[in-house]
Amino acid sequence: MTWLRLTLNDWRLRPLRMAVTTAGVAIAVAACCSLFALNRGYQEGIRLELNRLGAHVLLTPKGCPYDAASMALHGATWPCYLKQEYLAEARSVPGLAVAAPVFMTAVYESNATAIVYLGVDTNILALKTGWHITGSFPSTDDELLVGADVSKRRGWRVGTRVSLPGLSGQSATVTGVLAPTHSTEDSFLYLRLADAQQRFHHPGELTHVLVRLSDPNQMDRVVAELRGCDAGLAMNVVPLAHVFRTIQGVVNSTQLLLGSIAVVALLIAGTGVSNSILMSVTERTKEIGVMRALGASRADIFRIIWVETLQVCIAGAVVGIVGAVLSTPAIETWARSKLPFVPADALVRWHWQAPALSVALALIAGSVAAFLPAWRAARLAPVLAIRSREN
Amino acid sequence: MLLLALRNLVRRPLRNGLTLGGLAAAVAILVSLLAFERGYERALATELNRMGLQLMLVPLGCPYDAAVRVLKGRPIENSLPEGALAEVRRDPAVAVAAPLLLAAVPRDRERRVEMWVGLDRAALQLKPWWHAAEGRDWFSGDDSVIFGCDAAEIEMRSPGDLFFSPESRQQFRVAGVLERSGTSDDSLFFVPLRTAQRMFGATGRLTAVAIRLRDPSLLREASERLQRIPGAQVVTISEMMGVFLNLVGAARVLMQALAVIAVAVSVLSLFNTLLAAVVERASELSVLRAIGASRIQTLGLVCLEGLLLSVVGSAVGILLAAAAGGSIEEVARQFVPFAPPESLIALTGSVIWRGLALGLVAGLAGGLYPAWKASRSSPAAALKGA
Repeated sequence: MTWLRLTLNDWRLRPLRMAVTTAGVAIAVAACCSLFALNRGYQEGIRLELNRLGAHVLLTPKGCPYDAASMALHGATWPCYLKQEYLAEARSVPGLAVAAPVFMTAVYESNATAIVYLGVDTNILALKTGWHITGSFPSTDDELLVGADVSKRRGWRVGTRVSLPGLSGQSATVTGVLAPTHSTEDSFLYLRLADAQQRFHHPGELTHVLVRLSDPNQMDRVVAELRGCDAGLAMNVVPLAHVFRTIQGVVNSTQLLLGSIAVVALLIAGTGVSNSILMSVTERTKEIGVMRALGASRADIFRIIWVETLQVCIAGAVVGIVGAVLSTPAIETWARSKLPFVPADALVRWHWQAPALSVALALIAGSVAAFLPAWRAARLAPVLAIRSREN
Repeated sequence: MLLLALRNLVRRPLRNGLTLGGLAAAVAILVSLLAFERGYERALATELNRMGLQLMLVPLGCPYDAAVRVLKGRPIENSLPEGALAEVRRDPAVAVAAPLLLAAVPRDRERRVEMWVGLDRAALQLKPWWHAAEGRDWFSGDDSVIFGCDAAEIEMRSPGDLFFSPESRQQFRVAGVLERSGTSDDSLFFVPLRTAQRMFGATGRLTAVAIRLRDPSLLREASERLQRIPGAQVVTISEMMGVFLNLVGAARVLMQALAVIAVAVSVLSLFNTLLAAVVERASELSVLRAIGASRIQTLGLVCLEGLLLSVVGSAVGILLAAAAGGSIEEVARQFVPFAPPESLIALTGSVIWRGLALGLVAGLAGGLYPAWKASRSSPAAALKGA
């Protein structure tokens, strides 16, 4: 194993150069695996969010269904409304298990924080099977169900009489508190549907309807029938699986481009490595000549240089992965500000695949990079090398 | 001094070549991305402006999704009832309402998609560039077809020729070939609206209605009124452009971040190369100092080497980007959701300058420390004959 010790020589002799080369590999690897993690997190986040809605189909006012799905998830004041009559008509379509009408609006407190109110009826409970309510669902107009965050931040308990934030002079009694769902729902306030419509002056209007089918395989038929009924001409019928597929399609189509740029970055790091090992081979011409004269074969020399190069790449990969994991919060904030339709969940999701793939790529790039200097070193004739002017 | 720096670089062709290549690749990516950004935005704006449209009436569903479907040659799920057109035309704010039926005919064997468009006369008012290069500029009957100039080239037809469309099992007579307009019209097949509806089994249906208003300031109220038409929704052109730019923008930002990282990696490589050069030539630099070169001069020499490498690298990168522009554009077209026919890549002066400036900064960033190190070499070492 003496030769293994020989491979470490360079680190001792040229610490700055090796550090800089390693840093190059590290940056490229960090970029690659952050990208993998980001891509994974983005898709996973969107899938989770859509699942959390608990619905198969969303009925929304006219407009882009992606905006509508995003508003339904994150809470906002909607630009247009659905008439409540549509609900009865939609319910007459066979195959619907639950159709839960929702009236959603966002109001602003004096300190510009948005408070999202939802008007719902008991149908929502059939959709949100993951909900656990301490207390009870509002049964009269004066009652309120609040998300876990709201309850914690404002100190509201079941039975508290509270003045409704953003609605001056109005109050209600908290009758229920939701257990944390770890989604945007934790910060929503739920009123009874009619109560919300009246408080916000939109009687008889809805923002969206969450629909669950009795058999998800019947999706195509039900969607066609919903679109076919009279109300279907005045609203958008949005199958959520379709929304997910389209977003995934957009993400996938950019994936290839991003991946190829990441590979180019790795290749550039590879030329850097190749270059720096080449320099050390040139500098150590004499040393290599002595080794050859002492009986080291061409294969030995080749192997030493090869291993040395791989060491740089592996060290770089490890530093890069650690760096990428450490900078996750920064990447997350940056990506959140740049991407459209951002899910509320963690955007950067680590999974063993991303680092493993990056290390594999770094090793391949390293092996390619090692070839030129290792071959050059192995080819040196011992006598000439010892006599050489270098070093 | 320039000559000296150059000679030093030529002494190590392989090493400096590798460094240069890395930098060139990084700069090429970055410059292509910048050029694409400019070009896409510009082409999109010209395409939409030329039509003089303010609104589109489209079927329910996402307009973005519809655009992608048309582009990829998949059928659009929804269509508008023809009654919507009459309602649009009744609206007092509407100056021109042009119905169109769009259908994609995939030609799998030739790996392309033919787009057929059904039009009525109103379309002429929205297409100021509509002139026949040969033949007549409007249909002579139900079975006549007008070709965009690229479409005519591909099909090798000129006015008066017969043209058989296997999908609709129908014989057409070519009425005219349009002048090149630089819009997507160049590659389209136009037929009268009724014919298109019959061909594609869409009697009484429309894909969209393009609307020009009497006065652009009526936009708000007009779109509110039109939004009430059953089965249809209104998209303003500026909204549509926003969606496209937004989606393309997200991917672009990620790609640019990666390209910047690639440049950073190549700067590290440059740093290493220069540092090695300084270490190797330690005695040579001492001699230089001994024969009277000042510290500043040695610093300048090594800096100059770095700058030469990086500027030449960037220049090569820019050339690469320019040379690969065509193929990059072809690839990009498959990925962007709505590709205007004009060149998507705009390698403008400012983009080139930015690329070169980047090279300069990279050269300085990678070269300063080695240069400083060079300036530290002492003349005494040379005199001692070290």
